[in-house]
Amino acid sequence: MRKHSFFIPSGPPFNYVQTMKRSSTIYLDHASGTNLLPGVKDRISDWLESGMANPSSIHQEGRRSAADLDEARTGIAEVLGCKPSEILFTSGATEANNLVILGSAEALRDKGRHVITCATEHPSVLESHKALEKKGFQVTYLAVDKNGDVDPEEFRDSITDDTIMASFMWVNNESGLMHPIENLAQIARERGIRFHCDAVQAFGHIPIQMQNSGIDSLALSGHKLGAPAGIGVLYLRKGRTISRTSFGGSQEQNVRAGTPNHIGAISIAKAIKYHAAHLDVNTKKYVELLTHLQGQLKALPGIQINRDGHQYTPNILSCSFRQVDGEALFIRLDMSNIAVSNGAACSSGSQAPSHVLTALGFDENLAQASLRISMGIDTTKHEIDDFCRELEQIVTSIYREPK
Amino acid sequence: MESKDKKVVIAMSGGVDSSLAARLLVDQGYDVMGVTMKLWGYIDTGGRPTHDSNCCSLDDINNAKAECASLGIPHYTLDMSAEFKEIVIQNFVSEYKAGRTPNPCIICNTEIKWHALLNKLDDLGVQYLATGHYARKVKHEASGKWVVGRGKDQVKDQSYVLWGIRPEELDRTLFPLGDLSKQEVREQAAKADMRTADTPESMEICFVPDNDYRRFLSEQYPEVIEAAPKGEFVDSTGEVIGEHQGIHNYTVGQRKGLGLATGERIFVNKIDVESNTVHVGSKADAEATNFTVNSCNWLVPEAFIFDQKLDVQIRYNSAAKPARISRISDDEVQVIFETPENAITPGQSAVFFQGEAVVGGGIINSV
Repeated sequence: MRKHSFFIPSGPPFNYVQTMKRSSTIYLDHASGTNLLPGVKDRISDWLESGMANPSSIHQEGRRSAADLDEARTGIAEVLGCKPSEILFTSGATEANNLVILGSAEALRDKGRHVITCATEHPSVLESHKALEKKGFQVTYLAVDKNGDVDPEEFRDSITDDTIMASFMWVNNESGLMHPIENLAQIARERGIRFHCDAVQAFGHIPIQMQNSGIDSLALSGHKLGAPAGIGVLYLRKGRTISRTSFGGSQEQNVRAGTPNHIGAISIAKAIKYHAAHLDVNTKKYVELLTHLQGQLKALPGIQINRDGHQYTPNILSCSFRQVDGEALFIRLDMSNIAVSNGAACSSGSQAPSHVLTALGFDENLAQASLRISMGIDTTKHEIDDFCRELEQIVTSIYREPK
Repeated sequence: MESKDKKVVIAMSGGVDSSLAARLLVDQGYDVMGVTMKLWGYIDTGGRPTHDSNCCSLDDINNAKAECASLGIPHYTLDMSAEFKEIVIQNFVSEYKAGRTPNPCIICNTEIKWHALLNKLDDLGVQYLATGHYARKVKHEASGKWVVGRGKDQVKDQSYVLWGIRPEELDRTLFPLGDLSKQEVREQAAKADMRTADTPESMEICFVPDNDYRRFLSEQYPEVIEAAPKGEFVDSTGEVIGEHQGIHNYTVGQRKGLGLATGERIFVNKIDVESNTVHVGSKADAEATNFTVNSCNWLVPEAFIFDQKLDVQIRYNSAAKPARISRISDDEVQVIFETPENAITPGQSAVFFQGEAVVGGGIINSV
């Protein structure tokens, strides 16, 4: 049961479907944003009581804040196997991706003007590359196969003497597909180009260590891990300079100006430590839930489970329904108090077909009638059962036999 | 009449009328959801989104969303742009191409706001559709059928644009504003501190926000415009008195923009697509009593309509006048006014009233 709702618009709960017996939400949209971890929640409550001074201030209170921030940075560095000075706090992964993509290209523009990414990246990466195109850079958007896999050899072939940087996500946020990041990063290292990784959906599911890795920078997001929205981490390997895109104070290694969100930093550090320590036990749990979920979904009319690629994280499942109207499906799910996504959470509120599913070759109707089911650490088998029962009822009632 | 434990969708434009309608339904105890249909994007239609819009923009959708949030009801955006383009815009373009003057709001009401939306509502398990139109459902006494009736506010009355609703779809329809005047709507909205209380009236065609349909056609359908040849203006004596710029530029009754210097006030009174000719003449030349109507929709059985006394309204902002109608063929009827009417315009709707009740309607075909 969902207990916190910091990113869900307030208002009374809806109860439109008369057959509904539950009053609580079935929340299976944890990849969009998940509950605060209990330890994080307690820490935030303490902070609300005590307040917190600016860590740049010279007084005792300020020094205490600076020490908290330092502790958070050091804790994250220990988990990732890097130096504390390589950990920068941002407002989220979007800002981290923007900073490092735009800043690296600018810093390296004398070396070359070609960068490489992939068609199924998060909008914060794709749009940063579109901004680079406007600045005169040439961008290669590598195509993916029908499962969303990137071919490392195709990546190798796309590198030219003019290439300065490549960006790939570790785990796709809509399908849960894992890209062969270490392999791709190694190719980048061999060819002497910088490698950025958006690891927002990977952390907590894949062990991530920066030492002996070919990755030069990596982005993480707080609200996907049980910290609040508004905090992110950018790992930036020592010696990889990036040009500033924000101006003001010299915080965050002179890369990101502005007083850091230090309760956010403390929260994300706690969350990162939690996920590193519970990786195995959580994975085991997700695998069990996923097997349970897949077993029940298979029988639904018109369903296709989008899981034929190389490897997937066990917390995300994408599936699509043929002969079903996508808009009706999502409204019915919401009327039944079920929270799932159609691909990624969309800021405009209307459903444009997912660029990820479109890149996989889905037609518009099928992309619209696609669910991303994503589980969190407090998801239960019981919740999965309730979800499958209601989904079956809805899909059965709106499924139209092919003409 | 309607059971209040049933679910109602209120179609919301983001303006004051549909927002207040939503509030009234909630106050009356209905189980309400708000829906805004996305019908087109400025990318598809041109115009100046920041100046001209008061429908269908992101702001309007957000207004509708915010009104629903303040009522504690859900709001959904439905993308109906494919249906809208295929049905409403295609009809708009082909009517102008045929030298006629379409009313796209009527096609939209009939085929999108009612027919396509109600099909969606079936999937949602929702029985009723409500809109913010100034119209009522009234009982047609002779037949005992419920039909569309004029709204209480005679100035705002929108029954003219609702003749096309299929009878079985009208049964599922609610008009919460039918007994209110526009002023009462604004007052109630202001009293409830609604953010949409002062939204401006939308008067233009929503996908032609600058009211320049010629610009819309030439930007969006240049192939239609380029294929429309110039032709001749012919006066009432049959004499050629000038060259026209393609028949899509003219509407029956039009006086301005003809580019003819004849020394007297002349009007378009007929557009002949076969000969690509625009006939012009005095105002009296454009008067007629007989015309035909097709694409009809009947809200009461035909026995209550043909050769019965009724009033026919031939444009949005004119009064209904006494006439009789008779059947010509399966898909066409003839209307004969008691006294001549000016500028009866093919492509516009003829709506048949008996008192306050709309008993049917159709599209004016030939005069």
